[in-house]
Amino acid sequence: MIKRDSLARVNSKKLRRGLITFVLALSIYILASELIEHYLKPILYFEEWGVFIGRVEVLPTVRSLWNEFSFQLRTRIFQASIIVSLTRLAEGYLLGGGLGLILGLTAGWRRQVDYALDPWLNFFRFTPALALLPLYTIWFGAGDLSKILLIATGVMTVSWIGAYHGIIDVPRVYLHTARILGAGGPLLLRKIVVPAAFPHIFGALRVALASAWTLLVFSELMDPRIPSLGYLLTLGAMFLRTPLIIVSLAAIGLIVYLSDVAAMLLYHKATGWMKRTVEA
Amino acid sequence: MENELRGRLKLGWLSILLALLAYVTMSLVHQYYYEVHDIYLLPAGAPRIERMLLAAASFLVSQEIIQAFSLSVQRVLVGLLIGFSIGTAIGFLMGWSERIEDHVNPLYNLLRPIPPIAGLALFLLWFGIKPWTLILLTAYGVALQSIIPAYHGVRDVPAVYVQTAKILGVGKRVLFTKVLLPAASPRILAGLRISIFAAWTITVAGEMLTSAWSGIGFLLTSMTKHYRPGIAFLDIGVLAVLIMFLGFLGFLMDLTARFATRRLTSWMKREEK
Repeated sequence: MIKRDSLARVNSKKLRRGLITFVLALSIYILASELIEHYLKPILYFEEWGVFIGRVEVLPTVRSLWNEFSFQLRTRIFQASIIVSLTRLAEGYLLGGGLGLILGLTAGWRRQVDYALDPWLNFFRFTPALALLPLYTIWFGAGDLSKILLIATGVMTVSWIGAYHGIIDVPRVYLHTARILGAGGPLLLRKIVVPAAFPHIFGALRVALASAWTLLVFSELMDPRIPSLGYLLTLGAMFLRTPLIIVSLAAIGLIVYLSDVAAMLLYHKATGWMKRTVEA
Repeated sequence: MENELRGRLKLGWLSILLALLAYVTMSLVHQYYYEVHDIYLLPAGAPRIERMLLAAASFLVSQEIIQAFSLSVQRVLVGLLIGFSIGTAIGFLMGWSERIEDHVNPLYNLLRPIPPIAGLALFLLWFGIKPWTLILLTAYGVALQSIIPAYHGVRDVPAVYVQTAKILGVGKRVLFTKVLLPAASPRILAGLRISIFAAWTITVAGEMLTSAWSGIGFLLTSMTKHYRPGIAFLDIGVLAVLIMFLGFLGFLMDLTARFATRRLTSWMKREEK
């Protein structure tokens, strides 16, 4: 997860090598897709495969990808899908993150709470969150609510663990020193514990973002409703539209990447006070 | 130390008992309202605990669950084996040579943000609904996960070790098996635990999404498909048992991985906590 080559240290050699692979991979893809489209498909036209091979693009050409993309943009379903999915993600993330942080912080701060919550944490930790979707569907129906709750559950678990360990791992020396200097509970929490645990908590929140995306896509594939990114993927799989699938996958990847970059920027802004061995 | 453990156990059991009590009260209230006033308080109902336990017990001894679990576990293990070895090899190469790292990085960064489950649609289209498709998807997800730990493990091997070995005239093979691999193994094995969880998640998700792959995930979704309010009360009990069983299996796998880590890295000095 650590980015070794942050902006300042990217040198031209790295960039050149990366570019070489990228261009190579791209040209191989273009070559292969064009070959399949123009030469392989006519050869592969078996009787029993006929319909299948004739219609399906195994590797869509760049032109076909662009056509699909511009079509989705023109009909506005693409924008609508992204907005709906992102709203769902944000709701689930905020709900789960808030709950997990509260649980983790109290469990790390008070021993009795830790003991009482331990079995539940263990349950959530080892159960894949997505197995809970059927249960939520029975309880809350196959709609928006169960999707949001599913995302919230996954996010809650990760941020709970992160906040808990963040607090537990605060060096005792800090606490003792602050106590000796006369700091009370709330001040201790605000000035020592939370800043010291922050990097750990933030790391957990970042992991939680990735798992939230997985759960979002999963729940939307389970119950695809127009408009959502999962619906676009399902549509592509049902009507064997490879370009649609690839365009939606690329959109998901791009959004995940951008949200991760935004999170990192936020992190560096928030922890500007820390001394680092490597300047970012 | 013993006192602490006792307190932990006591409060833990207390909280579980409290939750159970709350549930029993809820189901009793629910039943009362249903029988006396003919009102459904919860749309799905809250089946009585002894009925849930009965359903769960009869389900646990059935052949169905054993078959489903063996299928899923096979998929997870095969996918894990393939994906983990490929991912670790790639990560190893990336950590070892900066040249390879620079070349692989853009492709890796291109694929990494996309959740592997989203790739299911593409895999289905490319490979069809074959038994191998889900294993391939699992392997892909695991490989993506296990690149980073191997990469960091190898990259962070102290240069002194490698230089010392080279000065002592060690060949490439011995350097790999006696220096690099052991020094990187704690990180790689820590990555194994994440990979196991990823494999488990992807396999169950694939089974839940595609009913052609019977397994534990399919059992989970079939519970909701059969479900009608008021008729199949017992399905919730079976569902709960399935979910707990899943969690237990995850716990077992994690325990195995942790045990293996301890055994394989027993040469390391550890700080006792």
